[in-house]
Amino acid sequence: MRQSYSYEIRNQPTALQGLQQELDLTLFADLKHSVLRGTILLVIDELVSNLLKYGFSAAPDQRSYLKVAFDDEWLEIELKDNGHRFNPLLRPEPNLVGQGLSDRQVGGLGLYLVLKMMDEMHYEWIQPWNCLRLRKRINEGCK
Amino acid sequence: MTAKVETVGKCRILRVGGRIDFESALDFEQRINSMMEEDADCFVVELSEVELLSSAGLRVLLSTAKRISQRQASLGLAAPSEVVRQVFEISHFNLLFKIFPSVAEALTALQGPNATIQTDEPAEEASLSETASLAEKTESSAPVAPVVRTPASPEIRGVESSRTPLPPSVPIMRSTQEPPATSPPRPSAVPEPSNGPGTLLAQPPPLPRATQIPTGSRTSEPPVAPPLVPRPEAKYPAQLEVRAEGTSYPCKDGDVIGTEGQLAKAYFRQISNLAPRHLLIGQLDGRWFVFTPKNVQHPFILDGVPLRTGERKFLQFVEHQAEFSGHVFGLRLVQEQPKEGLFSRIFGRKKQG
Repeated sequence: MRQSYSYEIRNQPTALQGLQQELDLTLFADLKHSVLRGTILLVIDELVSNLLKYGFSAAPDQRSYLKVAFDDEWLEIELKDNGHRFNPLLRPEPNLVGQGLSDRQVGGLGLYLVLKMMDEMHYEWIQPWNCLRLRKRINEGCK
Repeated sequence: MTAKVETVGKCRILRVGGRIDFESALDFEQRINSMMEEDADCFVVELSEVELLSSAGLRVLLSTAKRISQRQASLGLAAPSEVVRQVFEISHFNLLFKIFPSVAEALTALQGPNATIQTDEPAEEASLSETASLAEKTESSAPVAPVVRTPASPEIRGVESSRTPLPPSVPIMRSTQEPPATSPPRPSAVPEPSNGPGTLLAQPPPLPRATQIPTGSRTSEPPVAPPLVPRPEAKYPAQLEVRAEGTSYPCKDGDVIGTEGQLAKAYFRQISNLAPRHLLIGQLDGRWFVFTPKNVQHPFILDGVPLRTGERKFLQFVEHQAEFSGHVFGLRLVQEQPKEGLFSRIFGRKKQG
């Protein structure tokens, strides 16, 4: 059975905290599987924190809509925002191979983690909205 | 996020639980700083109860590892939950860190198998009693209690033979002889050339080869401390520059790092939780210093030690490393060359007397 949850995120400093509280009361009250919870938490934390830091400017009317849905086969996360136009799929991947501790740059992993956690990614710009849709196939163990 | 610091012999253990995310990463860093305030040979971060480890948490772990390597101590990560293990694999942190299935195995590997700790109190944590040879003392985190010291340092040995073999499903901490514990082929994003609509589908990346692993980064042998190299002292008069992400930003007396500061703005604006005037940079008698105002709650860490508020810290070495909230940057003193005018360059310096 497909379950779906929708949230609105305002351009406010406490938006992420508020969203997490809402998630705990709704989605995570229903969803107990730790890996699935962890994936959703990570994706939302990275995307929304990135949006609040870089995507929004001072305009208070900027906002974002988040939708999380899952059934027996797929987890889907959709984020729509009217911040700066930004396609995360075009961001170059960090160079992680063959780097020792001293060479390794601190930072730059957030969006990379998100894209690697998910199986399908789709981005579209529909003026003035960035529309990002991510899908992940749910393993047997996650049901 | 929850965190608790314990001391076992010469190791300090931070047991973390809950979510280490954008909001709580600074708290996580403060807990790690508390753990590192006391001198210790090894540090273990236990992660079994961690529900989320985001990139903000990874930043903190990476900068901690860099600081600990400068102190000639060792760091182990223990018992990561499945979600955390996935994050380690994607970020290749499993190739940078020593990761153990349990705290007991981390202690055995980092302290040596025969480390017998003399303590006044019996062990309190059931999970640590897995290692029968380790008597231990468990302490609360706040305030940080002094480390229980052994009469003599425990002998450090190779631990391959003594370690419990891992079940095949635990792809963590292998010796360098074994094939690397890599993640199964994961989908990778192949970006479209245009900025327009596009769908990315899963494509299995090539498996990393053994040659891609940094030498010595995944051995379970206790790390051999590199020889101590004296830090070069700065030669004054000198120019100070902030070095961040490959860019140098020249400093001047009165510069401010913080949300109100103009110095290296492009870099520092990425860092959340900075105070308006987080760090002041100044000169006194030609010598550079940094100063943290008293209203700053979380001072920068300079060369592994948190700066004290209300005190000037003079910069005496050519290179200093500063960090905050997982971001690391350098402060470098570049000796000023004596300026010579056109005539001096052509005819040589005017002789005194």
